Amino acid sequence: MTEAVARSITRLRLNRAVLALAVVVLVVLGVLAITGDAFAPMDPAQQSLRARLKPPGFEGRTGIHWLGTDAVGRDILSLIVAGACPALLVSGLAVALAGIIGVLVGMFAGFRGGRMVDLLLYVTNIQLAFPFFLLAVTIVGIVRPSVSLVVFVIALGCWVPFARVAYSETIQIVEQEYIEAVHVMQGTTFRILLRHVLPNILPNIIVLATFALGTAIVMESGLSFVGLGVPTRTPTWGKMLSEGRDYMQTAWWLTIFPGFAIFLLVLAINICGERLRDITDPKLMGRS
Amino acid sequence: MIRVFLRQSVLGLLVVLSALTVTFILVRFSGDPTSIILPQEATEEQRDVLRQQLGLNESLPTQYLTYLGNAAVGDFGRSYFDSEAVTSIVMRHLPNTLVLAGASLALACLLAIPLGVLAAVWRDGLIDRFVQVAAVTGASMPSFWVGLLLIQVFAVGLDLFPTYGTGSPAHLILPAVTLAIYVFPSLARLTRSSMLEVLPQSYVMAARAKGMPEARVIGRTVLRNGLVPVLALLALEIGNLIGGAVLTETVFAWEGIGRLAITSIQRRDFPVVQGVVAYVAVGFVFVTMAAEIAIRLVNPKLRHK
Repeated sequence: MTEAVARSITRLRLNRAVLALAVVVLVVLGVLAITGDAFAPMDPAQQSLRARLKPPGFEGRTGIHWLGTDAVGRDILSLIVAGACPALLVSGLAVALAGIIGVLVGMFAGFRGGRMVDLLLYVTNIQLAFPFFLLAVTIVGIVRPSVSLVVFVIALGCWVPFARVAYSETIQIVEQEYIEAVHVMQGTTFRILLRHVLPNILPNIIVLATFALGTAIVMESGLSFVGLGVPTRTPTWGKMLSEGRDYMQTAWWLTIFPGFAIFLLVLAINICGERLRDITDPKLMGRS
Repeated sequence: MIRVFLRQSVLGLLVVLSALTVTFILVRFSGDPTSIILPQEATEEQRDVLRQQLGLNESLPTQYLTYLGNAAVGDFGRSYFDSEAVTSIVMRHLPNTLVLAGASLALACLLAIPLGVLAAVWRDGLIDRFVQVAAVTGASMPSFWVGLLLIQVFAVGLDLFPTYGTGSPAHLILPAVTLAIYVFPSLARLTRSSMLEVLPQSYVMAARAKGMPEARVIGRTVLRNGLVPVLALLALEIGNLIGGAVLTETVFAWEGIGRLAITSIQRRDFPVVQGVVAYVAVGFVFVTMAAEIAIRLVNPKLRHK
């Protein structure tokens, strides 16, 4: 018995430590995303023909390249720092857009019922019945990439779970007595949804948004990898990976570090998401 | 059963129609195809002749209907690039994608389902911890980066497999493992959680109470009930797999339809892109339908719903 207790306490401590680490990673990358390349050790756009494809730890004229340099002599670490902004900004905007649209549509369908529900279910079913990434590359590829288009397409790939969860929660909430009370006091639909339904479903939506952010970042880097990402001054993480692909035989650091940055960010987001889900729904703790 | 089949057919038809419509609209509004096909110095008359040939001088609704009519009989026109028929290009690439998807799905199932079951049976045990950590880690890794890592370690570093290309079974291993890692997290997690839901049921207790050996309780009673949602997920996973194959095939230069889509998009060979999207939609509709029927065969409870 005491041994079991001791074991679960160790596990709890371990889980807390992992969570703390994830939060630190998120905060650091978040700050880097907001400040742009202010914290980059060197100018990420600075090319140098003499310092092409140098391994990690190489001492160049502008300082030590801790993570090496790429094919045109840019500092990898600085490029990764500069890449935090497009990665988080594009996917953050996309998730915000998907969340707002999905929640509004889902709440209205749950509140009104009838035709709107059928329509919602049909549209989401049609969308889920197609490999989304193929659709994403098709749309962006044909129209040609821009920030707004990439944000829109990623949002299109993320909105379905928001709409479905908002819908299924709203139909339960609108049957409650306090909603009836608002009806009696002649509260408008707008008021009911925004003041009474939304606060109730918000915790679950936040959990969904966290996981959606991870998915969106992976999607954004995938689009960049095939050359359909947002146009930026310095390459995004996905673009760095596709550029590094040509030098895998000689320069491993080109493909290891940018990919690790994506992995670390998404992992941190997913760990926080798991914890948030446990908080909002303790019954599910450790279940999924 | 028949109603389910009908509903699925209507949904399937809508999926294919939407895929066709979206690509039609995108391609029509993306500019003049004669500027892609003909060299820059082509005269306006030459362009007009080509437009006539492609049917671009018709009104948009007529173009749309002709396009749908041709698509219905599998005619998506010819590649802008080498004027090969789109259907034959797609059919040439399709087997490679099917081999890759099949191999990776088999690999993922072989790993994820037993591990998921064991994780649920010995809850909080070592296997359970491993599955949980592997699932969260795996779900956080972009598939194309996993592919690059595998190439770096097993092809460049250890020189065990070829770095990229299609052909021998040796070429298949790394891309199949990459895609399997991509599918593993959701599959293992769902197996585990659906097992955990079945284990405390009273019929499981009854099976134990009558003295059924534990291995049989798990193998028969629990597995049969617990695997139904996993089967349902597999159908969705196949769509996911094709999406993932787009990137994996690009990384490994695997000559499948995912890579075909990317290269065609990059050289703006739109008929091929339309063909790929349409064929994937059709294939996927059949997979979903087959899964719906399979689920009802496995679980009699659902048959009459």
